[in-house]
Amino acid sequence: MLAGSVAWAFLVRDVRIETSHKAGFAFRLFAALMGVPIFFFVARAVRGVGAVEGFGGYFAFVIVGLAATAYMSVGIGTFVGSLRRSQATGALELMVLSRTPFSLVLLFSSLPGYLLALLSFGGLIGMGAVLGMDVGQANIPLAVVSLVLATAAFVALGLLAASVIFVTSGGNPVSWVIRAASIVLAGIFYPVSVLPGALGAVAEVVPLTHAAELLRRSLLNGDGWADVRHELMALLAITAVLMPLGVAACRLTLRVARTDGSLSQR
Amino acid sequence: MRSAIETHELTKRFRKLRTYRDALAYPWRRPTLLAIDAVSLTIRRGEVFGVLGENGAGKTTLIRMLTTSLLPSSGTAAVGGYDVVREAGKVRSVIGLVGSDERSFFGELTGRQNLEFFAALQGLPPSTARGRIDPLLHRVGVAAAAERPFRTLSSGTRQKLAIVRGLLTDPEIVFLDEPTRSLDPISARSVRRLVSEFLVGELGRTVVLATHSLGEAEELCDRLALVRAGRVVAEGTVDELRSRLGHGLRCDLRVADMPPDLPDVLRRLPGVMAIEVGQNGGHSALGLVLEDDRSVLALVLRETIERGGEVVGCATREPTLEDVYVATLSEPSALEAAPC
Repeated sequence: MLAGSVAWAFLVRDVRIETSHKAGFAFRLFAALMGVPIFFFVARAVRGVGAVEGFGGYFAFVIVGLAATAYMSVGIGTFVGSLRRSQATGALELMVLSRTPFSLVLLFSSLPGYLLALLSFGGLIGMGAVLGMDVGQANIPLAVVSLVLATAAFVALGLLAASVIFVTSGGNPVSWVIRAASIVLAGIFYPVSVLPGALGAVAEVVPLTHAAELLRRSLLNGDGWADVRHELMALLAITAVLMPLGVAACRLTLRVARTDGSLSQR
Repeated sequence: MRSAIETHELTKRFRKLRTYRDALAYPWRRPTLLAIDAVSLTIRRGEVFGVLGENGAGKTTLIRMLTTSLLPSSGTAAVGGYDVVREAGKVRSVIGLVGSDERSFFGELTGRQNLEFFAALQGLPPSTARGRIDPLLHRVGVAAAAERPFRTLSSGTRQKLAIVRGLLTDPEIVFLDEPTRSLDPISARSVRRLVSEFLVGELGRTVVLATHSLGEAEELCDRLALVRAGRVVAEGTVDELRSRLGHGLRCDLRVADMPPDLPDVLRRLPGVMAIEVGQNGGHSALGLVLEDDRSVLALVLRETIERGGEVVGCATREPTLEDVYVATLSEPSALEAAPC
C-alpha cells in the first residue's frame, strides 16, 4: 500500500513536471526522432554491409539500436536529472528525511523516467516501421521481456550514476559517460564484431550490447526464446552484479553525504 | 518527565577542501573545520528553544545533526528519546523540519500537489493526506494560494507552505531553521505569529528555532542558547541571560574629536564588558556594556576626556537582549560562565 502510493506519487509528480514544459518535451522527442531519417539515407549509402544484413539491413539494425540507446539514455538521464533537481532545490534532503526507505525513494524516482523512455522507444520503432523497417515477424512477448530485463539493468546503472550525485555538486557526469561508452561499445551504429579483441570483450559486459541484440532479434528476426538464451542469460547475470553494486554505491555515498553535508549542496 | 532533546558533547568536524597542490604535497593530511564543538543541551518538552547566533555560527549544522541529515563526528544526541545515529528512522517519525530554503519544493507543481507528494513520502494514504492538508492550509491562511504553481507564490506564502509540510505528520518536535530569513517584515511577523499562536499556543509542540533575529528569539523563545563558532557560550531564559551581565548598564556615548585608539583603551578598562563603535549625527557613537558600578562609568568618561575626546552626549539604560547578544558574541569572556 505504502510502496504503491509512493510510486504513484513519483509518477504523478514527474508527469506533471514534464507536461508543464510541453514545448521542451516535444523538442526532445523531435530531436530523438530526427535520427531516423538520417540513418534512412545513410543506410541507402552503405547498402550491402554483410554483418548487419541478417537484421533486414543497416537501417533496421541502427534504428533498433538507437531505440534501445534512447530507452537507456532517457531512463537514466531523467532519473539522475530528477535527483539532481531535487538536490539543487533542497527537496532531496527532505525526501531522504521522510519515512519512505531511501532505497524506495531511489527506485520510484527512476520509474517515471522509463515511461518517457518507453515513449521515445515506441516513437523510434514506429517511425522506422513507417520508413520501411520490417517488424512483421516480431516476437512481441520476447521483446517485452527483453525490455523489462533491460530496464532492470539500466536502473542499476542509474543507481551508480545517482550515487555520484550525492557526493558532488557538479551535475550529471556519470550518466554522460555511461551513455557515451555504451554507444561506442554496444554495437549501435556498427556490429560488435568489428571491435578489436579487447574492446569486444568489454562490450560483452555492457548491458546495452545485450539489450540491443535481444531487441533486434525479437523485433526484426522473430527469434524464439531458445535462440536468444545466451543474450538473456548474459543480461540477467550483468543485472545480478550491477544491481547490488548500485544499491551499495548509493548507500555508501549517502553515508558520505550525511558525513560531509553534501546532501543539500547547491 | 523525559526531555524532548538531549545532546552530550555533540561535535561536528567537516573535512576542509584542499587545493590540488596541498593534496599532492601532503596526501596524508586531513585538515578539518570544527563546526560544532562539544555542545551539551537539554530541551524540555513543550518549550520553544532558540538557537541564536551569527551567520556561520553552526546553528544549521546543529539542526541538521538533530534531524539526522548530518552525522555527528562525536558525542551523542537523542531526539524524542531516540538516538540520532542508531535510531535515525525513529527520530524522523517524531520530527518535522521547516527549513529556510523556500525553494525546497517543485516549482512546476502547485502548492497542494507538492504537499500531496511529500505526504505520500511520509506514508500518508491520499485520504489521510487530504484530511491533514486542507485544515492546515486553511489554518495557515494559504488555502487559495496553494492551488497556484509554487514558482508563482510569494516568499511568505512559500514559507507558510513549508510550515504546513513540516506539520503533515503531526510531529512532536518541530525544527524551524531561520524560518523568516528571506521574508519582508510583514511576512516575517505573520510567520512569527503563526509559530506562537498555532504551533505553540494551539498545538503545544516542542519547537527548536534557529535564528539570528534577536526580536524573533525574544518574542518566541522560552529559553535560548547563544552559539558562537560552534560553541554554546550562554544558555537560559532571556531574563537569565540578561542577569548574566550582572546588574549591567548600557551606556551610549556620543564623542566629538574621538582619538582613534579610544575604543581599545576603553575596552581594556576593568568593568567594561563590551563595546561597539559607530557614527551618530556627525559624532562617534560608542555603545558600552558596563558592570553596574557608577565608578566604571566615571572611569570611562574621565578616560575619554583626558584623551582629548569631547563628550557631547551620554545616556544609560537597562541592557536588552541585543546587548547580551553583543556582549556574548563579541566579547565571549563576558559571559562564558556555566549555563544557568
